[in-house]
Amino acid sequence: MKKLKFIGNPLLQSREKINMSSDKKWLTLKTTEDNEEFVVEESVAIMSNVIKNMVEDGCASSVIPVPRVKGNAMGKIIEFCKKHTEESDEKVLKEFDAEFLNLGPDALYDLMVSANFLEIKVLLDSVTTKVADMIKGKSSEEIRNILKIENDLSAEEIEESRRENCWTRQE
Amino acid sequence: MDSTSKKLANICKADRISDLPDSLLIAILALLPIETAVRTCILSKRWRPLCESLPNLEFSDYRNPGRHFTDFVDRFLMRRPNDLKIAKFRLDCYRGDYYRDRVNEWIMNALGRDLKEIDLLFRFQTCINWSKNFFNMCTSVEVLLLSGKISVEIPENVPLPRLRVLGFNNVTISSYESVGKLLLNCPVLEDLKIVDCEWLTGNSLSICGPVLKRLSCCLISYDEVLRTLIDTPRLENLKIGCYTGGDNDILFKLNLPFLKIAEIDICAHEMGQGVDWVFGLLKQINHVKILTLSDNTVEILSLADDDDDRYEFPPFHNLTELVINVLDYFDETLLDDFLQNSPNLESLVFPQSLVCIDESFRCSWGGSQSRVPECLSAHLKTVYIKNFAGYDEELAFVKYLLAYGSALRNVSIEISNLSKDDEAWQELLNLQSESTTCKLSLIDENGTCSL
Repeated sequence: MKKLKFIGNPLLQSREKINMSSDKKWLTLKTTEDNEEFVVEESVAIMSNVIKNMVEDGCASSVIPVPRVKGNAMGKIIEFCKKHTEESDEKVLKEFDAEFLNLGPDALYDLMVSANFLEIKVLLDSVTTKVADMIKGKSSEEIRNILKIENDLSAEEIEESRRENCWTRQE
Repeated sequence: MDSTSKKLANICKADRISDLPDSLLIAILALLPIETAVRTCILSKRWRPLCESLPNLEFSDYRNPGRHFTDFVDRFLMRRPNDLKIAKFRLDCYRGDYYRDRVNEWIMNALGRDLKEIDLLFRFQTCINWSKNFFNMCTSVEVLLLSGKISVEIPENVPLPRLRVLGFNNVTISSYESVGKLLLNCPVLEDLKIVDCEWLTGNSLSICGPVLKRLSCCLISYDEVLRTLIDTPRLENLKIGCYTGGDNDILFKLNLPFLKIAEIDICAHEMGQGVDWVFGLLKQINHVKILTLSDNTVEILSLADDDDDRYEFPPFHNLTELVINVLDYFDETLLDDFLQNSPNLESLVFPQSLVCIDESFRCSWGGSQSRVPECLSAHLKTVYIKNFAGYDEELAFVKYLLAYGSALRNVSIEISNLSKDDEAWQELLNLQSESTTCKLSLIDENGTCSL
């Protein structure tokens, strides 16, 4: 059974009612990987440059298919875009972002890939900054552990790099 | 999930970040200081070459000056693939003295890569020449900032079609006139800073900027006869600092209709000098929203003859924030003049002190003032006073504000050098508990205080 998710007024029960309501335009986004549908305001959806282009080119008819992004990631992304469309207070947005991005590295990477694919600059910049903050000022080993990077360099290669960058070694 | 599935899931989950495309990994590295970014070189084969593509290179030898630093910069620039651009290059030589040739090589290398932003700061003895060679390589540059031990020689006819931001800070410039000519070749310049530079020759500085929005011009040389002409019809933000007296006053060609923020620091050699000019300047910029006056400027204004008709105070209709720095001389009637003529003032700040050192200039508030200024009864919301010392006149002013400030929300007073036993403290604490609509914040060295 298809799941229909409304990111909007919870009192409205059907798509027909939404389409008849005042001047707001609504779009349906469908993640093709897991067939989840999301009904969003156009003003929120066009924070994605990709969707914006589709709407402007007139391709966005009833349902916009979104490949490569999973349903739960899409839900989070819409939550982010909605907040950033509604709220103009910098301070409030900053607090929201900090809370929103309080995720493990894997979830952050998923978000990065999706934001990059959908071309949502604000989200991409926020996540990139968050990941950078996680490793700022840390040693190589600490960075490896935080980002879970597998080592495939030989001992000589590592030694060579260390020698070249000895200026940056933490004393 | 049972334990085997969990283990499988964990293995599959390992090192997900290395699956991201190069562009995203570099975007992360670009946000880090270069010392951290470079540490990722030893993480894996995937990560090793990424640093060599970093778009912004900022090198500072503050922590580790010397040979290792030069080797590092050398390698970073030289090992970079020839066709790979650099967006921003910043070099801060804080502590070391480096071979001029080497530094020149670094700059040439960076400039040759379609550079957008270059920021050089030489604090030590390294002295480089920034002249024809470098200027001619700046066709793609949008931001050029030169500070410290740099000797700038501006050639004729150097095109800078993309330059938006230009800064000369504490450098040595060959002639005043050459700067004027340079600016004629900067059609999109928005931000110009000429601060505390040394000049070798010349007597005429012409600042022309058809789209200039921000200008910061601080000229410390006062023993030359210098004529300065500023033609910046779209200026929004002005900071000027200079000496006055005689022929070397700055002339503004036109009014500045878009000016919103101004900071004025004019210093007179002798007492009584510069009054005409400073008043003239105030009349030209009376439409600003935020005005900051240095203690030197306040001194000049305070020494003006009140009875002289030439010194009629202009109206400041748009002024919402006024910052007054006080040191040697401060005539309280000047403050009254400002308040009376700034009907929409919302914020008043005294970053140094409310009263001046010279006692004869202080006067009492509350009695001699003609009428309550409109800003006080309608708009003034915040007042900030630093270095409160407990003088009678200071207390009188605070009481005056609290009594007549109908819109006042917050008066913050930073107190120093005042013993808690002093009567003034007790008076302030009383005022604090009595005032209901306005919050009186008292701050001493340890933080906020109340009864």
